[in-house]
Amino acid sequence: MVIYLSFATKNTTHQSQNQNQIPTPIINSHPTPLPSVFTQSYNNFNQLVPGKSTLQDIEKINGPAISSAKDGNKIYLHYQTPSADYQNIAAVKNGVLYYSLENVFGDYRGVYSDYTTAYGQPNLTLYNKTSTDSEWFIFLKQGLGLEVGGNDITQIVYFVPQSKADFMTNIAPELNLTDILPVEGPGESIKPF
Amino acid sequence: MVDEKTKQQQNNNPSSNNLKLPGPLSGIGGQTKNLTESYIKNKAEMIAKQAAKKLLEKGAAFLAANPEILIIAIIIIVVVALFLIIITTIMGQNNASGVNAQPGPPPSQGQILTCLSNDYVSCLKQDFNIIVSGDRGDDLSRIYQSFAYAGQSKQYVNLLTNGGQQLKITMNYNSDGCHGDTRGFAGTILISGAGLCGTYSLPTFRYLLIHESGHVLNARNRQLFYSYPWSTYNSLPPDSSCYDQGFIKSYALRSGVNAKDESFAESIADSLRPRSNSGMIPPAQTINNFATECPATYSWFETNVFGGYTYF
Repeated sequence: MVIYLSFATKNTTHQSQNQNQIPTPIINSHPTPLPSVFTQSYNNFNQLVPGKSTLQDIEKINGPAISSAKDGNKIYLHYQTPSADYQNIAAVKNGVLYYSLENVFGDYRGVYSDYTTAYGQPNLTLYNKTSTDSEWFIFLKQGLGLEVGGNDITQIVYFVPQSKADFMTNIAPELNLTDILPVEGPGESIKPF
Repeated sequence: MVDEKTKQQQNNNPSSNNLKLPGPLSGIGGQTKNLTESYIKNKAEMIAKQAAKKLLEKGAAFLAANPEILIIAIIIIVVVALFLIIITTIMGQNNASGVNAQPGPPPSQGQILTCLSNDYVSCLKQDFNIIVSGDRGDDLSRIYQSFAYAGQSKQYVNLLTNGGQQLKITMNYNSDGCHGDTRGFAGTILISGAGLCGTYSLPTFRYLLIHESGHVLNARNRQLFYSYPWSTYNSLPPDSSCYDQGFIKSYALRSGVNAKDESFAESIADSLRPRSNSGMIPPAQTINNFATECPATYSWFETNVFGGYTYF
């Protein structure tokens, strides 16, 4: 009994530390209108649970999507962000959340070092096929991927924990990610002007 | 019980007599020495007092006989005292205002830095935290001049150096064309076809380098990049005509690269000169005046990247 209590206390302490390092606000109602300030938290995507959250859960937690699209057995729900350039996506497969992609504009989800402190080094480093300005770090066991510039997090993908092979087959293509560093070619050559 | 040898050692050891003669002059004959020194000291004090008394009496008699000398002496003392007070006050004010606390003012906005030593390796490192491999002298000078020109905006330099990581530029001469390849997140720029690039004018060379630096600046300031309202600018007047397929139209490509990334980098390069066309063949299009043809984009970069500084 004493051993059990000790173990339970240790686990609770560990969870508290993680919560301090990686902000996870508990919000159970759908978000209010988008804030005008970019750096404020504006959505509850971190409350969705891939593999468990249903379509109804997604709408209850994040409100109705601004648009949706069907592709095969998947439904993609699009959500507005403070920037007109980006939309958050919840991909639903067979009625439950397959993965979700959240755009982050401030430090309300913590910074990259918070995640490496909590989870250790990432399992994968990936690149966007058309951009060399940022890189992605994937934590397979935690079902979490981060787009990082410096120490800033700019996108988070939430997915069901899976193997590297499965991730590279199932999720990476959807996000246009590759493990091969893209190279800008001579097509970009500059000429005298 | 103490044996004889121990008793002899105790008798021969001066410190064993400390019960009789404590103090620094303890030892055999110490008391006689104290008396002699005391006498000499008293005698010397008496002689000194007498001499001082005589000197004062003579001085007083002299000043009484010559009162004008006394007045001159007093005036000199007062003048010197006032001078010292004034000097001390001025120095105190200077220190309070920080004039002497600072080594010198930082370079002002609009100032083009120069590498007086011509040691461009050191100057690039010191002024921009840049290191270059492929150390051709001409290239180093032109790389420094390019960043010094852009660096007229201190905010640009601050954003470029944000995070403290070095920016590494590699000049690759064994390739055709002249183009840049940047890993923004890694802080690396590869200039391919550096031999051809070296034949270009400084403004064209600078245009390439500063475009590439825009990718590094993006990676080091992601929230700034995110706040660039790219889709608004490229879809709505007055700037929509300045973009083509989402790309700032002076940029060379329209596919295979990220339109927002490239427009961000290209706009930074375009902000340094009015007319731009990076590729000189379609799909690249000439922007004749970045400030008037793309006013919203120009204004956003002027404010958010260059801190209000304008280059033309």
